[in-house]
Amino acid sequence: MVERNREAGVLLGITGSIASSGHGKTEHRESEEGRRRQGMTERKRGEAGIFREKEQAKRYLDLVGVIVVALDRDGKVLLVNRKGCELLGYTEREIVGKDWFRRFVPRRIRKEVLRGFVKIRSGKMDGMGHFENPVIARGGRERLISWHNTSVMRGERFLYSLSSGEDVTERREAERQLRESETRFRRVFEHSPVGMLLSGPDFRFARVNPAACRMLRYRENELRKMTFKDITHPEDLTKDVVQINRLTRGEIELYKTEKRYVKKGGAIVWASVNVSTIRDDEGRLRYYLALIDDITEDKAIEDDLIESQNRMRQLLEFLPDPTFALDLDGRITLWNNAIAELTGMGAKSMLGKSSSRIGMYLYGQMRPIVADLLLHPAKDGSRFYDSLEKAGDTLVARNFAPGLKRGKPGYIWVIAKPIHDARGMMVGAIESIRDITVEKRNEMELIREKEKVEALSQARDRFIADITHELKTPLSVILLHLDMARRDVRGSDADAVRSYDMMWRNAQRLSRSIEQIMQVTNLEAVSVRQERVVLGELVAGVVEEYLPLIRSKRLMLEVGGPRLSLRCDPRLLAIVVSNFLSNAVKFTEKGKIRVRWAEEDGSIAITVSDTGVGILPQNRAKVFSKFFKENPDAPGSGIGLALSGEIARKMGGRIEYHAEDGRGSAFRIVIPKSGVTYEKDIDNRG
Amino acid sequence: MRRILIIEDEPDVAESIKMFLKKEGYEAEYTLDAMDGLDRLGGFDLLLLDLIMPKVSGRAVLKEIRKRRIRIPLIVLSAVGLPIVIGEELRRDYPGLIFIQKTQLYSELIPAIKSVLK
Repeated sequence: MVERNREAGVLLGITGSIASSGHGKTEHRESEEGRRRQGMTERKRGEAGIFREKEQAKRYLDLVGVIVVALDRDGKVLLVNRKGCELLGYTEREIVGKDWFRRFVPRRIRKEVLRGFVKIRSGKMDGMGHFENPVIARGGRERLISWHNTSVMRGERFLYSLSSGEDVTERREAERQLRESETRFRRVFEHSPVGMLLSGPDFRFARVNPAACRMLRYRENELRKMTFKDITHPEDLTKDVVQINRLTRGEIELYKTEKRYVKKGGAIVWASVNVSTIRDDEGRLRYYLALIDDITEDKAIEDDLIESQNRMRQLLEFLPDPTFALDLDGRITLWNNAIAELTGMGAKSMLGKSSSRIGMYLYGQMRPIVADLLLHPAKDGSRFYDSLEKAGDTLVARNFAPGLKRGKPGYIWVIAKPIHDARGMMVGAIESIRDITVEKRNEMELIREKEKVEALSQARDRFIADITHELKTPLSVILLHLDMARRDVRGSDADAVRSYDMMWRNAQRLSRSIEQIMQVTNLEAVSVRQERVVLGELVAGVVEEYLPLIRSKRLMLEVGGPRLSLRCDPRLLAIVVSNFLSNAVKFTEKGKIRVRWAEEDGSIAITVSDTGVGILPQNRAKVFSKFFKENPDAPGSGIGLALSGEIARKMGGRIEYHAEDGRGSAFRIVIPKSGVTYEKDIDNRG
Repeated sequence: MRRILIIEDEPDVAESIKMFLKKEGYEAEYTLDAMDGLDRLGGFDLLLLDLIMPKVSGRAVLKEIRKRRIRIPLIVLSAVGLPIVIGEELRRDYPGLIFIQKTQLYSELIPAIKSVLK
């Protein structure tokens, strides 16, 4: 700066004369002319000396690396050096004499720059010696120039201003960019959700951002006294140091890891860490920058995932059912202990192998296994299996397996299901095998057992039939003859009549007893059927049985109801209706018998009503108990209603009695439309 | 006079029924041999048939009647089984058939015959 002023001082004297003699160009011409006119006046000679001096100065000006511009008091350009011409993009002639401010200073700052020039002109330089302003070069482009200004005065009088300028456009731009990037960096540093730790070559933290402070629970000033070693979990430190050393030596540019930091207070935080170095132009290491991201949560999820996978694997591993899994290519991806046991092949020799091996071990031949059928749905596997069923995406098969348990044949049950990933894409299949050889054998035994029981039950039925036959046949003969003898006995002596009556009563009693026994044993022996029964047809069939009796008693009969069908054992239902009808006919001498049926709330009700003697109120509760008879001498065994009640209960229903004394009785059986609940009851009696 | 044939393997029962019917004014004959009965059916108005017989069962006789397309009213007798169950079962193939328990013959036979021969 001092030097430049001195240069300017040298110029001062030279250019002073230029200024008084007008434009440089003219001067140049004049000086040539002067050279031609040798031997002129002394003054002229003197002028020639000045000219030489000026030429010399000008050459000097052109040599300096700065722009030099001189302005007169009106702001017109008196002088510009070569550097100035180059910068502005004009020739000297195009610049000299032009109004500097109008021509070369952008309008937006012209006033301000002029104010500066006015101060220079007035000699009040305070602070105006150095300033920066842009100038307009050819084509309108602007260059930023840093100026040093001096005013040349003669006494109080301003002669001209002399300014040397330096083009700082690029430098300032670079500075601006640097500032911007620094701002950006600071902003990122301050606001980043990622923790940033900047430490010097001594590893002491130089700067840490708020995110890092939050993560580590330390304040910035606390961290600044620490190094990464102070906050790294001891178990992760060695690995860290090794990598940092490589980074320091420049063997690696970046070091990524997942590690544990110890937070203030001792708690652990898992972080994903990314360490890089910042070096200067000479390659000297200035900083380590660590970006740290809290992944404690991810880590926890990952741990959970790994753990659950392990658990799952262990679970499958120790599942008692032989189980394996295949990938989409049919390669074995899982082979548990049970299947190793079943096939005699360990996981080591099977994992990664093709599923066709499994077919060989199980079935002794190359053939698709059930899981293959899932992987290749187009294959028809049904011919390979005794049974093959599909339920949703699951396949279930049963088959004979000649190669089970190391060559011992057996019977297997197989279930296979596709494995899907989280997006629902099929990624493989899992198959589980159950050795059902024992079950199969038991099943066969059960069938044989059942056949045996059935044979026994048939034998019992036959036995009952034989006994019944043996008891009833002679009895029927006795009864027929007693009945025939009745007329002959009448009119005989009293003892004969009494004797006859006793025979008759006791024959009847025997008949009833046999009947009772037969009805109960027969019912129990009957194997229950489930059939679709049309109610009208069933009732009509029963009624037909009683038609002869009803006609002989000259009773009116009314039968009717809607067309209804239900599932039940028609024989059992017929017994009940028959019992109702039998009672009605027995106890009705005059009037009407009605048989009606209807559906009531999902149940079926059959009602048999009569206009007979009815049942005394005190006896109504007893009519359903076994062997109760209101009139002990009336015909019948007294078991009918009890039996009917039992049948109704077995059909899941009930029987009811409605009556008013002297106006007849009404018996109802109410059963659910599908009266099946009694089925087991009877079935299991063997 | 309506003629009734009884096919019954037990002589006492057969004889008793014949006597019983005679008293009620019916002309009845019986045979202990089912095949013989089948051949003689043509001359009768009604068949009383025992269901349980050792050589040829009542069911076999019924089957034969159907096979030979003999149209004759039927009353089936048995000492065995629930009347409802057996009656229902037999009527599926022989509509109009009446089933009577042997122990109820004295009270039910005559009304049944009357209803059938009406």
